[in-house]
Amino acid sequence: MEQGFSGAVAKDRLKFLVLSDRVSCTGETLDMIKQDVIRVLSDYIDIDKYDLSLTLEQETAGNGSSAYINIKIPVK
Amino acid sequence: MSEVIVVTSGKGGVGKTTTAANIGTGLAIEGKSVVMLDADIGLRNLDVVMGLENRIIYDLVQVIEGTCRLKQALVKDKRYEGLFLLPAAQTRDKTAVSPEQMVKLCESIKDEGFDYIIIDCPAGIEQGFKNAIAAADKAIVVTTPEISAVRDADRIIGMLQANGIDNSKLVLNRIRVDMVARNEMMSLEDVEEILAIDTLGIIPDEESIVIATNKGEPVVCNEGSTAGQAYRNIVKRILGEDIPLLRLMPPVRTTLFQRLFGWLRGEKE
Repeated sequence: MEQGFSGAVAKDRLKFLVLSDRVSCTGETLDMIKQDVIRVLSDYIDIDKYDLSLTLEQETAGNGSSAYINIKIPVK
Repeated sequence: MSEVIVVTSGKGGVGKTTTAANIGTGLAIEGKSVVMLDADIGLRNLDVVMGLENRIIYDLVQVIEGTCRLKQALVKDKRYEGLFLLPAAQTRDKTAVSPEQMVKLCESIKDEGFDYIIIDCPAGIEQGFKNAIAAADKAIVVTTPEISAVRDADRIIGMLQANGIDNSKLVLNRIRVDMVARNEMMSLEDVEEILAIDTLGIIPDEESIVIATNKGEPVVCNEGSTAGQAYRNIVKRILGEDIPLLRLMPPVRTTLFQRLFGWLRGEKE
């Protein structure tokens, strides 16, 4: 185990946990969304489903913050 | 006009009861009249932390059920003028009381003219939590710099807001400055960024707190303890004073000679 970074690791893991609690969206749900996105898009275009990334993220603007889903889909 | 402050956390074992005891005692030391209300029915402990466990005759449930009067159940802490404990029942469970009954109970305590009611909330988000926050004007959310504790604190802050308590304040407990300095522990800034609430105080992880609890004397009375100072500052902030947060310093590395000298004097590392 690498020494000296577990504080930052904790913060990153915590950020995701708190965010997913706040919007009631678990990692499992994200996986299901991902599978659905792949299925729907594959009907129209040729995508690289192994490199597709779908993440729950947060944007802080002013005094509030909002959650969004970031999807990156490489097209073949 | 009394103020009702609930000390809560979500996760258990982060220092709610210790914080409630120290804030209650600290306010009494500052000359305020205080009732510390243990809302953890079935698992009461505030009496033990306060060293008052042998003086309990009646409890909160008996007051609510009318078995005794409020004044009979209030345990007076003889060490500090104006400090009283309303103990939880030990042989009942959380469903023995409803939020409405807690509101009524707090109203009757307010009628006695106390300055503060400090409520020690049980862990969890169920009935006991709902009872404890029902009558609260303000909330103090206690957490430690651990993922699980901060995550639960975030949920609690959301639930407090849903119940109309917006201005929750953070107490970050058991900070180890040496670990934060090595980036092996989240800092106050990290936790603040995630929880987005104002900080009321930070408490260093210190032996003096364990020792104080062992003796049943809140650490806030210990003039020589940094944790005690941290709680005294929290109390002053509650009273409206603008006190900067303690600048906690990592422990100075001792030389072998100093340690040897310490051992000879019987100190433990």
